Parts: sequence; structure tokens; C-alpha cells
Amino acid sequence: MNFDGFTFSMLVGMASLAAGVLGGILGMASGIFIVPALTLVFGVPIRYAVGASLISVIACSCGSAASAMENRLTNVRLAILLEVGTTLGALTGVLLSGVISSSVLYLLFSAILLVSAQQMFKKRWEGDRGGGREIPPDRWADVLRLDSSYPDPRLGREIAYRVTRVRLGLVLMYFAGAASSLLGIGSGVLKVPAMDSALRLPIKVSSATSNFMIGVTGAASAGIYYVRGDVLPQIAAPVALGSLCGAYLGTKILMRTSNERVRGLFIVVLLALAGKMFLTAIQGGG
Amino acid sequence: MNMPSDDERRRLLRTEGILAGLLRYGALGAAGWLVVGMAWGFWGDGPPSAGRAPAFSDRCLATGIVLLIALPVLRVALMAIVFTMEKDYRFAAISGTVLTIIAVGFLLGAL
Repeated sequence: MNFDGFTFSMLVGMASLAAGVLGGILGMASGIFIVPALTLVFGVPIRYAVGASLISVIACSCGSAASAMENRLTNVRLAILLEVGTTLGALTGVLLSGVISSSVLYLLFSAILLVSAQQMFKKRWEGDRGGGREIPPDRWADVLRLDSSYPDPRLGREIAYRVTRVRLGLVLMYFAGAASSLLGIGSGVLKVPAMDSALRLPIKVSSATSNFMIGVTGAASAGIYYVRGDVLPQIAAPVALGSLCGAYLGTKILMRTSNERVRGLFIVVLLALAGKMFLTAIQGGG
Repeated sequence: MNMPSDDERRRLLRTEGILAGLLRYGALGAAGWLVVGMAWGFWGDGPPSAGRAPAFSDRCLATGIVLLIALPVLRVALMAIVFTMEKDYRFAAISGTVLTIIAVGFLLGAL
């Protein structure tokens, strides 16, 4: 397929728009839809697909940079600390992407899609186990003063929380960062559960902090891909623009649709994509 | 518990607000470069000139892409400066570590 053509750009742009809308509704970066679209539908080799997708991950992440409200939810200090883990992971991921075969990448991707579907299924976004859990003191959290609080609008006051098992969190972030740079996704789907279960953060804080981190991990990975020449502007540009517009539209649409149906639709989409990626992996990669 | 003081948090939050604005407008600016680059590529560029300077459209696209990559990195760099000014040397060092890792990555990629 001619990557330089006007038609190609328009089609890719529209596909990215769709992916962005899906991502915007879901509240996640659209990379997880873009890479399958680029590889399965447009026949783009996976390394260029990942490169382009990473650029769009940054674009969407920056474009939706925290509003004042979210600022109070994001634990900035914790985010920067965890970014040490994610960027190291991103580095490893990019180095590995040179030696890992496409088939394995497709397999990994389909695994991530399954995990995402499972997360949606468990309705992670709503549950908050923060309340009654045992939170053992953590030396790193104390020394670095990571414990914080966030405002709860419903209760009208600040809710203090503590952070624990920071080292475990760092390790998990390392893997999330590697997944991000290998597969061209934002890895929020890995980061949020990690922060929720390992670090015992309230779920809203996990989401906000994860969103904060996604841009940095994306930039770390994208920069390496770019320097290696794996970011093709003629693909990356329409993808970034399409997904930006799509994400913006997605957040508008979010207000109007019912949560249950949306969630069900996405589980189906994710499973379908997982199956297709898996088949591609078995058939010998793209 | 060991939380940063209220003052510290307020200052950090205000800085965060400014940085978030930087990211949002920066992303818009980068998007602008991408739009110009794409449009120029379709309708503005002359015939390809073999072996000479890259086309204007390619330069626009590259500017947009590099800007996007740079924005989050810039945010971390600015946070490092803020931490230093607040005499929070530990977190300044942690931010510096993140920046170093990123820089090492870029260098490795260029090899």
C-alpha cells in the first residue's frame, strides 16, 4: 500500500479518529486500537505502527493534560518516582523490539487485549477498595513523603491515603513501560491495576496518576523509535491528528451513552481484536 | 503520615496547572505543524528534488513530531527545576534520573 498517498492518509486519519473516539469514551489512550488497525487493516509493518501509535499516545496524553480538578487527584511525586520504572522499562522494551519477532509481538498484543477486556469486565473503573484495606507502612513512602490526600466532591472533604509497597510498584511499572514501548500502547490498562492492588491507591488517584505518567513513558519510547527512523511522518501525522480529534469527540460522547452498553461493546471489540492478533501471530506475523 | 506540607502541595499544584497548560497548548501547536505539513505535502510541494534539502512539508511534519516527543520530557525537566527551587533535592535527583534514562535511550537508539 502506498504510504504517501492522500487516500492512505485520509483513511488512516479516519481510522485513528474512530480509535480515538473509542479511547476517549473508555478513558484510555487509543494505542490499543490503533496498532491493530494499522497492522491488520492497512498492512503497516508493526514497528512503524508502534512508532506512529506512540506519537499519538503522547498527543492524546498532552492534549488531555490534567484539569485543575485532576491535579489534586494526581500524586505527582509518586508519578515521577514511578516514571523511573516506566522509562527503564520503555528502554528495555525498545531494545528488545529489535530482536523480538513480529509474531511474538502480535501474541503479546493479543494478551494485552485480553487483559483489557478482563479489566472492563471486572468494572475496575467503578470499584474502590481503598476504604478498609490494610495498608502496611512503607519505608520509601515515608522517606519520600509520598502519602497524600485527594478531595472527594461528594463527601466535601479531603481524603487522606497512604502509599505502600513502593518497590513492588516500581517493578510493575517497569513491565508496564516495556509493554508500552513494545506494543505502542499507553499501558494505562496495566498501570492502573498495578497502582490499585500493589500500591493500594484509591482508584481515582490511580487513574489520574497513570494518565500523568503515560505521556512521559510514551515520549521516552517514541523518541527512541524516532531516532531509529521507525516513526514515519506520513503515518504518524494522520494517526496523531485523527486520534486527537477522536479523543476529544469521545469525551463529549461519553456524557450521553449508558455505561453498561458501552462497556459491553468494548469487551466485544477487544476480544475480536485479540482473536485477530492471535491468528496473525500464529500465521507468522505481519 | 508523612505528607508534604500544605504550602508545598499548593505550590506544586499551581506549577502543575501551568505545566498542564503548557502540554495542552504545546500539543495543539504540534498538531498545527502536522496539519500544515500534511496539507503542504499534498498541495504545496513541488516535484521531488533528488538529493537536496528535505521538502518543506517533511520539515513541518518533523517539527510537529519532535515537539510532541519533547513536551513530556520538558515537563519532567521543569519539574526537576521546581523541585530544586523548593530545595527538595531528593525529588530533583529522581526527576534527573528519569531525564537521564530518557537521554540514554535516545542515544542508544541513534547507535
